Amino acid sequence: MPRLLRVTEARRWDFVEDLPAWVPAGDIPAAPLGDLKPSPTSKISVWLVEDGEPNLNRVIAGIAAGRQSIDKLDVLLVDRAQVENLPITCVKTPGDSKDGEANGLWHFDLVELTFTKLRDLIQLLAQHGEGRRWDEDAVKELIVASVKANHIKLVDLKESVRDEVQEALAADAPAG
Amino acid sequence: MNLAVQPRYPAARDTWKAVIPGAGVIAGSVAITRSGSIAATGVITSGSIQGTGVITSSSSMTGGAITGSGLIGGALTRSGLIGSGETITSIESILLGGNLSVPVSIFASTVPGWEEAGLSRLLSVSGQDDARTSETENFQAIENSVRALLESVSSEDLEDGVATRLVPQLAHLVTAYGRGAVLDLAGLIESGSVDPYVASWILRSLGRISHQPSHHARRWLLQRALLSSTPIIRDGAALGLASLRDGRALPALRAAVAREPYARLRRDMEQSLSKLERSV
Repeated sequence: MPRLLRVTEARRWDFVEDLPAWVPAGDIPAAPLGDLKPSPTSKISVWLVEDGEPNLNRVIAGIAAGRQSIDKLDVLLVDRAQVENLPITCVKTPGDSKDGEANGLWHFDLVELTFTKLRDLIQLLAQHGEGRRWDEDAVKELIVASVKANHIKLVDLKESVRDEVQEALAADAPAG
Repeated sequence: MNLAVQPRYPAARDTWKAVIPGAGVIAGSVAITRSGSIAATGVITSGSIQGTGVITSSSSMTGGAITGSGLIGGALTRSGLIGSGETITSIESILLGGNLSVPVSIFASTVPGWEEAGLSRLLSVSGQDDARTSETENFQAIENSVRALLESVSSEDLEDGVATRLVPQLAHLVTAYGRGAVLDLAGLIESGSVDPYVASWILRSLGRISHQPSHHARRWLLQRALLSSTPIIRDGAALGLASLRDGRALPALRAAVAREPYARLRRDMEQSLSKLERSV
């Protein structure tokens, strides 16, 4: 079953396991809103991860390569069907990661979001989202792999990211 | 100590002493931060008690003990030479300005590194007076630098993958002031004076800094932070330890994973543990 991926910050979602005492019954903390900030036109960017996750590493590499520095990357994955059942409309749009092909194949927008739909989405992610983390070493490995496979161009990377990737590529290069 | 009375005290550096019945008096220096908390490094100088202490706002000391020889021990000791798991209740007060009595306790950071080698290492380290004296002399500079660092960053500015001044400034601070800076940060983090999210970033970043003289102190702080009641601080500590790549932190990180009540955080910590295991 295809899933949707959203970059998050893992600790924003810990309330699921231990609701802070200051949160009234039936309510949730506002922290997850930081991970689901809609565009001015009420859209949220997500990525499609296909069955078996054959494209997951490329998506992660493309996203991470677009950042200012190599850092850990947290995401939540949730079934696309569950999102569409809320109902939230999922539309294929060009992504802005550093992997051009991934941008065309696997990027979607959740569109026409209302406050109520956003709340429902937060609750869905909180209850059914699967958290994943790539630490900075894993992120660098994925970017390096994508650069080697020509999915990402070195020249497109921010300087600090490029420096680290070049260093890793040099270390991988055969001696002599 | 009672933080509620802190606004009565201006930011100041002062001498202090603590009366330990049956063991005498220990003395050193302490700073009161402008935020009203006592979060300072101090060298305990008099009598037979030696070590570098961190004054916290805790009401009791856990995980340390004063031995019969008058040494203040740390929570991390495994040698048994310096006690563990006990609570000091006999330190009665710190005297500020000679007449203001503030009840405090001391958790004994000692000199990081004691816990591995026991007494012989302790005697060796306690002989390094030059380094400790230097840190004490820079006390005000350390506090000022730490304050400047914390004032320069807001939790809302911090985001994964986004460049922040915090990381290079922290590296500069640690490189300049070594373990004195780490202990100052430890006091502030443990006293709750630092926003937990900022504290988490500091902990993560401490693990990435390449600075051998402060290595033990940074590992000590990261291991202590695993015991925090705040999940985001535990997460930062685990990430920091994974980056520090010091196998001596493995037992503490394994224990932290085992006791972690939050399933999602536990999975993230397991990942940090795996990274550390692979790196040593």
